[in-house]
Amino acid sequence: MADQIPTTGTSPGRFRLDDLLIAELRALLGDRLSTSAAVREHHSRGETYLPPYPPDAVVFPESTDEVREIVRACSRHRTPMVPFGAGTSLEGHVAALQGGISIDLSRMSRILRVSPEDMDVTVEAGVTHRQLNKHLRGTGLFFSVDPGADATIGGMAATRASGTTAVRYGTMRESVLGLTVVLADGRLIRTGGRARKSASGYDLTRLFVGSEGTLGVITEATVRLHGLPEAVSAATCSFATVEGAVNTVITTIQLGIPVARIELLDDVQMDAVNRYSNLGCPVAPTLFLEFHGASERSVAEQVEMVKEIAAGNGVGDFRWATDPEERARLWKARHDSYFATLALRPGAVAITTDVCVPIARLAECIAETKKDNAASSLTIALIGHVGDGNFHLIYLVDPNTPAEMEEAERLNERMVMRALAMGGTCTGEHGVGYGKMKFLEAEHGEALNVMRQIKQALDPHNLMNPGKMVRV
Amino acid sequence: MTGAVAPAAHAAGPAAHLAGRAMPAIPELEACIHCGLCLNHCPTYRVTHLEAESPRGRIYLVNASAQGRLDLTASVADHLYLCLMCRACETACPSGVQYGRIAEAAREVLGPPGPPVTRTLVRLALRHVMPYPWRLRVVARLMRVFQRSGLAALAARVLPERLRARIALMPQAGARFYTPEAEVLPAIGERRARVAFLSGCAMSMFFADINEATVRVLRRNGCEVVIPRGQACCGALNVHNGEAESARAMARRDIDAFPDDVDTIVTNAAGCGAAMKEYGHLLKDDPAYRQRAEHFAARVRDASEFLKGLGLRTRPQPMSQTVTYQDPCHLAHGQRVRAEPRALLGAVGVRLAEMAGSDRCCGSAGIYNVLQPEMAETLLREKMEAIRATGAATVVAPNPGCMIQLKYGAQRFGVPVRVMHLMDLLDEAGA
Amino acid sequence: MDRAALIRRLQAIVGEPYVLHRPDDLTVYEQDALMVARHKPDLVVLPDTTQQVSDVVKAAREAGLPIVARGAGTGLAGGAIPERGGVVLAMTRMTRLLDLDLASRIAVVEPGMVNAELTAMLAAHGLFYAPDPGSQVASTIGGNVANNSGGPHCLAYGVTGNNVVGLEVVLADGTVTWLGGRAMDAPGYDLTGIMVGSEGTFGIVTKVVVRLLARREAVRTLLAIYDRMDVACEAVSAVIGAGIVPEALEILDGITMRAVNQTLHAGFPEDAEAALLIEVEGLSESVPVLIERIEVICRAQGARRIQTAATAEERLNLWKGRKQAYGALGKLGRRTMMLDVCVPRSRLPEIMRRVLEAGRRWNVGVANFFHAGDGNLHPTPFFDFDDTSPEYARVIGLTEDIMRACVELGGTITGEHGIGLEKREYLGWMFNDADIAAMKQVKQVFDPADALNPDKVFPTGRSVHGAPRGKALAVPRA
Repeated sequence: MADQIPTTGTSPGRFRLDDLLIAELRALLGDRLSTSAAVREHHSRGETYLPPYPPDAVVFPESTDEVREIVRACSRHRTPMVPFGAGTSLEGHVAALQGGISIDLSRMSRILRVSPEDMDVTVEAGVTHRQLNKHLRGTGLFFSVDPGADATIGGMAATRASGTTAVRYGTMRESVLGLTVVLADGRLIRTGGRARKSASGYDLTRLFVGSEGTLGVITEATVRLHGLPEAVSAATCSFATVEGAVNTVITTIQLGIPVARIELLDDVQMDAVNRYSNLGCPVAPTLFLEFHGASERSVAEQVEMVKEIAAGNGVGDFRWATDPEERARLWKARHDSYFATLALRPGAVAITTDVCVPIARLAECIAETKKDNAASSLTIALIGHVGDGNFHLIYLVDPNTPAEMEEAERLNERMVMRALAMGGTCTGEHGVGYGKMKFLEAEHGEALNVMRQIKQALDPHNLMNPGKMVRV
Repeated sequence: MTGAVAPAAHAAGPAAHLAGRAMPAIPELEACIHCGLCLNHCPTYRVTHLEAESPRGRIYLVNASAQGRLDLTASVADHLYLCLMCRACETACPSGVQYGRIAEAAREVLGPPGPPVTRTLVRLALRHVMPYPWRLRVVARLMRVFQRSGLAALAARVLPERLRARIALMPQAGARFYTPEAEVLPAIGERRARVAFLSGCAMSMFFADINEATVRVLRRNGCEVVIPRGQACCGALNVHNGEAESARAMARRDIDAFPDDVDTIVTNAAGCGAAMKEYGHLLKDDPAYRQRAEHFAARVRDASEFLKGLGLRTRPQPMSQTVTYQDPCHLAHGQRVRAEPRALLGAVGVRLAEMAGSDRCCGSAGIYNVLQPEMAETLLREKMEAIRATGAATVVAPNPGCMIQLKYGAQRFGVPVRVMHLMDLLDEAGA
Repeated sequence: MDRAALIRRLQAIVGEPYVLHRPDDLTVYEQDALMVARHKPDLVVLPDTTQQVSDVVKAAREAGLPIVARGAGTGLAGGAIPERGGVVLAMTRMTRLLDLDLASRIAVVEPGMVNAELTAMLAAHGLFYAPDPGSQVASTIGGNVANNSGGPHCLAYGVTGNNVVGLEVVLADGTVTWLGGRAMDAPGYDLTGIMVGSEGTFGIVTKVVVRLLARREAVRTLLAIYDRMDVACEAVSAVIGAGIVPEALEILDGITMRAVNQTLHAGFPEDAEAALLIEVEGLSESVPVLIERIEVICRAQGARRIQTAATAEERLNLWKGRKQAYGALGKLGRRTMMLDVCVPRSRLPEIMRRVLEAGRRWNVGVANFFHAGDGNLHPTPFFDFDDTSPEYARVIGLTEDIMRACVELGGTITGEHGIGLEKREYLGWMFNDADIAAMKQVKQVFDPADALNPDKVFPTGRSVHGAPRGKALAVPRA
């Protein structure tokens, strides 16, 4: 599809790349700068359904100092920069809307310091979470945020990533203790630290986590680790109705049962997963649960309690497994749900969306959404980390039928507005990118002004990932 | 600084009687570390949310004056006199600040509370009526006449609103002034102790029957009770209202009136007990009386403490009723006596339904409810709601001021509850 | 605008009784719990609604006066002390619980709500608000937000920043805006996150959306007595190293225990050097198992005696000693000055050694009690002179040595009390010029005129320590 990639963007305000800049960068990085079409295409969209916007060049720094030099150079030449981790983002975060330089951090993949006693690590931004957990094997510790895709820690910090374990271990917001950031003019700052509690000055870590590359380039992160649980158990329970499943989740959390993962898959999704991963579960709204505990007995206690709650909510099938292989099979099936859904309609592309509502309104929101979707001919699957009221829809659309695309967007917009009206947010974890900017505006009102001003203060020339998150 | 605000003359000027006065730099002031943990235990802070109406704020004002940084004005006096002297802050303070002593020292400097007319009336009452039992009898008789003749009802219709409230608050003067049958009343049955009894001014004027009940209970439990004729008011009201010198005179007189050779001086009024336990401090600068004052103070016990320590002799008839208990401030905070009254209630078999905030002031606070009716009313309303919520038919409050206030509150806020003294209840149970 | 006109305008907004202007009324607001500095405000205003706050802010700005928000004034870093005068905005009247959403487990409260009273209100629903600073019976939620307050139970549940979901804020120009909302993880920049801990310098918080947690079924508390402090610290690491994260993990040293015994008759041994207080919550099956494991670990580390509390009363008794520790220390000397520093937990034994060493070097007694699980220490020097004495320099020397040691060990100069006035000159020990410049840029966005709680957090070149009292008060009041 290379010939379909425009070499000059079609968005307004796209600047003209300065050859002098390319020369400077090449002098700095040698062959770690690429202008080949294939490499640029790879850095043009991430995993979104939104159209691709390739950068003019891609650079591959290997140290924070190199990042500083790159940023300084781009800043001098007033060239936009787009930080790039693993490119697994879903809302067009890495699309170079105005062209410019894509800063690919994947080569900054060193694990700089592991402190098992203090349960924290400092890593370069390009380390992926799977790489980190592999490195931690044998320490009894793990990094808990698991967004499904093998994203980089830097990217996860930039998007405030969440994942299946958020209900118990939190999201990147809880996990990031400190960052090293290169600002738009090349200044290097450090935020936070290793102390578990700090009231020193402003908590700028909170500002950069979730800033989606619009305020600076994260080059290093210090993150918190957790102890691996002594005992783990997984369960699936299928329900007659989505409401039954959601009520089970609500009661479980209210009783303080420290469940580690709770995922909801609707009947469409279960069908896909059954076929793709050979699960043989009933085709009905199903909860996938994982329990962590200090002993087999405590895990068994948790399972019993949830079984009882589920029984009161119309549960059909209830299966549980302690065997690691069996558990791994269950969770792989869950994590492969995206591909499973795609497999339902070969040739289709998947549009993934993501909202979050207060858990008390979750069943209602899902019910109304499903009713809205029922009229459509599109195949739509639902999956979510319902422990925090977050769920995703996957719309399967034919890329060659614009009407289908429009319909999916229309249905999605209604769902987001529905979620906002219920006191929710337009994105549970995928972030804003540029796909959700208009919803951000609807959601935030006056605070958006403040965000704009912060963006303008830290990046007065709007060079850091321009056109994302906040309109300036 | 870029402020463009010019200072203006203060609206409320200094009070003439406070000119040239300053608070003393007493050592108790040092203990306050300004942590603020007392704030939410203070009833007046909870109502006003103002720092100057909190224990910490009041200590700060006293300290600022003592250090020469603040002139004493009517406003300062108002802040210090809005304090109930309930000493809940002392219970809460992790540093052990003796707030009561600081406040008393401050009030000694300020003199009696209120605008000039009030000050004069209070001073008159405290100096020229309280110390003299026979004058109290006269006042009691006048009150009885005023209340029973219908004059009070007439006054209530004719007087302006704010005075009307104060008339309504006036307790019903008892049918008689307490007069013991003899100065020494023997124990009933085997004698286990010899105690002296403070008959008290408020108890004598308004609750003679409770005094009699108290003496009965003491005698039934083997006490020989000495009720010295020469005794008089303990002076608590005087100390709390800026009349420290007359309070000292009253303390001396009581120290002289009570025999040195009784082991215990029993009182059934929490306010009196707290005041008398501090006689050592009150007379600390008096070389002639200091030691005797300490000896006196060390022997003072509230009737509930004493009886619990002695142990009830008879097994009382269990009373199958539900009561709730109001911790009088000067018993719970002033003397740290909370468990003993409850133990005695348990011994007579009543079911105790604890009210929320049982140790929060009801707003009586001596003559506070007359001087600060709005604050007293606000606190009383909360207190009556707390009592209502327990569902109990009886509230036990072992202090005359609290009893008067709660009786008024039951009527004012429509809470059908009987107000009793602990000794009253014990007497009824035959303890 | 002259003072009289401003007073009239403010009275029109909040009502006459709530604009304080007499000398005595202003004097009581010149300090919070930091006793080494005091400055009188020009006026004190007590608003009752968000609209009033907005109008007062506008009026103050028009008069060119700075604005210092204040909760209960229990802050230990001087964050509520109006160093430049101006208007103190006391939020203590705004105490309402506005909304309680049990299903979503959030509550919306006004900033003057007292921390402990919030949790008391939630008890009937089996819920609680987790950050429990030592001041909780007095401190307000708004104040907790300003300082990112912690407390013993933050080990498991996080600090204020982890428990606040949204804020309604009045900005420096009087604009009212919501940051965040009712759901965790609102998209966009985490303005709620940076507002928490901004010490009143970004805006005035007028509503707080807090996250509520469910009370667990079972709770067990354990007290382990040790003969040596370093051994006790190692026991802490052993417990956490075993993968156990208790709800609370506190240590008191021998000096503290003896002081607490005096005030509270708490029953601590008179000759032990350290006591570990550990609390575990969870399901009724897992908790006894966990406590047993902790007991084994503590004994293996050489605990002299272990006491477990099972009933609520026993548990409260064990905690009373810890919670009252600061006040009890008041008995040790005429003055105390509680420090607040934090190190990575693994460096606890080392920092304790250096604290004791510093105490010996400067010849000042130091009591210690702390949130061992988080590595957050409160070394508390006690002494008999006051801060105007030349001896006071020893206390400052001690303080600086301890802070320096913490930074060297990878920690921070304030774990939970905030920078305020007290530590602003030391911000540069934690962050370099570039870091501080970035912080200032953010401050500039919120408050370009530097009107909100000026001269806090950032260095000014004027220390509250060491400078004779006279100098601090001589700040020109134009």
